[in-house]
Amino acid sequence: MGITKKMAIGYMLPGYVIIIFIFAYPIIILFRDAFFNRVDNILTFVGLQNFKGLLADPIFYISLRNNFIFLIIVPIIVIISLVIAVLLYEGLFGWKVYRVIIFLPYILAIPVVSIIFIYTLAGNGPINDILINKLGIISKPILFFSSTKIAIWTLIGVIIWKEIGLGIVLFLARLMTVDEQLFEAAEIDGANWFHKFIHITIPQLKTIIEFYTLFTIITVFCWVFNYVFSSTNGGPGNSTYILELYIYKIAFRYNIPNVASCAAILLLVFVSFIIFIQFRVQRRFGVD
Amino acid sequence: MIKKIYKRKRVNRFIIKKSIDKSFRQIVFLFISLIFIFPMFFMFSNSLKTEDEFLNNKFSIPFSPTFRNYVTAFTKGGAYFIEWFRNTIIIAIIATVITVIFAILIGYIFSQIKFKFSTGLLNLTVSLMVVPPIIMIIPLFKTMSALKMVNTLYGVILIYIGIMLPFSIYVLTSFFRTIDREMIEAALIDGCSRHSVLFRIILPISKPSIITVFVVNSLFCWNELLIAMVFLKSTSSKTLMSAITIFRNRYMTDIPITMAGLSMMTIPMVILYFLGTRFFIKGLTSGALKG
Repeated sequence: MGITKKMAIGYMLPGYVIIIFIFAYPIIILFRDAFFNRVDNILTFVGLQNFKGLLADPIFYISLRNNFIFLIIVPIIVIISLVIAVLLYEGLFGWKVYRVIIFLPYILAIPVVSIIFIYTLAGNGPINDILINKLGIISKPILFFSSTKIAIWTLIGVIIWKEIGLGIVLFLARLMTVDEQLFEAAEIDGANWFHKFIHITIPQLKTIIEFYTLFTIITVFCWVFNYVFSSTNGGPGNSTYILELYIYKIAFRYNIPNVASCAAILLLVFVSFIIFIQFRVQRRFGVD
Repeated sequence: MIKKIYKRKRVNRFIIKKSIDKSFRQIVFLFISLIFIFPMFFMFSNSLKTEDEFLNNKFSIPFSPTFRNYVTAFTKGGAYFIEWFRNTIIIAIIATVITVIFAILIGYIFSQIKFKFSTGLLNLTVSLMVVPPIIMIIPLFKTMSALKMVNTLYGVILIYIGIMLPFSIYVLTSFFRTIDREMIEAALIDGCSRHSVLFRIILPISKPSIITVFVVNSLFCWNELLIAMVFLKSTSSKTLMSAITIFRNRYMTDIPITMAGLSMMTIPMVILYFLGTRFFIKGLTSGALKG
């Protein structure tokens, strides 16, 4: 009556054929393209030559730097979402409505979000209009997307705005399962909000905080193509290039797939590194 | 006695302090909500205005709402809007349904038996969840070109299925594992086959997680940009997101029409989310929130 080998294979094969075709096969080809060049239809081993080409490109360094700048998002988003989740948990009038509102950006499409922000944050757009004419805080418009210094920070703001909903919802859901008496007991003992936050909330939510932190690291390091492509597209003056966009442009605009493959391998190494940490830190992640 | 009075006083002061605290928090949250809702409000309210009304007042609610922008965007939006809409729906439905079916089959096996390397295989599969598509896209493009699948919806559907499977397998396997084993064994003793255990027992119980996977995957397909952009090059084969630049450039100056187009790209997913929201959080957190 057990599940026979034949049945197990039959059930798993269709899905895994696709997974191998979409993940395993391309990754093998990626390594081949990084180390071999095709000359007159013959593959020749070129060693690290393609990597040297990559390292000689200043835009590659800008991209890499920006990827690391984006990591600033991680602590900000984790702390803010945790605080908001706790405030909602403590029973605010209408907290369910707030939860829906805060989660809404998460389901919007990134290109749609980008276009709305491009209009609202334009030099002559409504936000600058409020700041200059209605509130009088500034005299010159802030060039949110068209200043080489500010554009990357605008992107960071947009990413936080869009991604924070998931953190709040996850933390809130986990808080609901924490024994309420823990908080009540602490309150009777005279613990203030901050004490409760440090000594009860964080230890109780440790697992989910770790999970969400690593999830956010991966999101902001290698899943931000859509944000950058649909708003600044690397500009102004290459100041907002990131690795994903760099790979895309090198491969499909400048048609140097071998060098792009090298950059893709670097990104893959980073992803693997994070996954490795994930398994070390938290054995529970894989449904073991 | 004295102790009791003292305690009551302390409690009173506590309550007053709490109510001040509460109104302050309410104000903070109203402000936070404003930040979160403003861009969406900007999109929906301006999509219902005429261009004149928009230029005069960008922030208010529309005083004489009109759906004309929607009609214009839908029928004339780059002349292809209807096709983009159709392509997106076809891709989202087919890819999501196939993904869910394959993931259910795989999750069922993972949740019921252990075989050599089963834990390793599952962990490896789950970790594929975080590999960004940009890594696979260069080799895939060559392969798809060789197979003549560029500019076809099938090519994109196939890639989406592959990308969505790891997450779906993860959520479904962890949910299937929470199902009471005794119930399955009782059914087996009653003469239920291994196949019908899946359909008669596991699937009905797993409704929240299956709906979650449906919603998350539909959102992914609907909102995906990179793959659609690389693999769908001809104008008529594009999806809404990959055609958004064409659409925007056409109505660059007429913001209400642009906003009407963006609203139409957003509304189906907002509806889907609200339909599934009851199950959504429950299904998503059953796996990630253990312990």
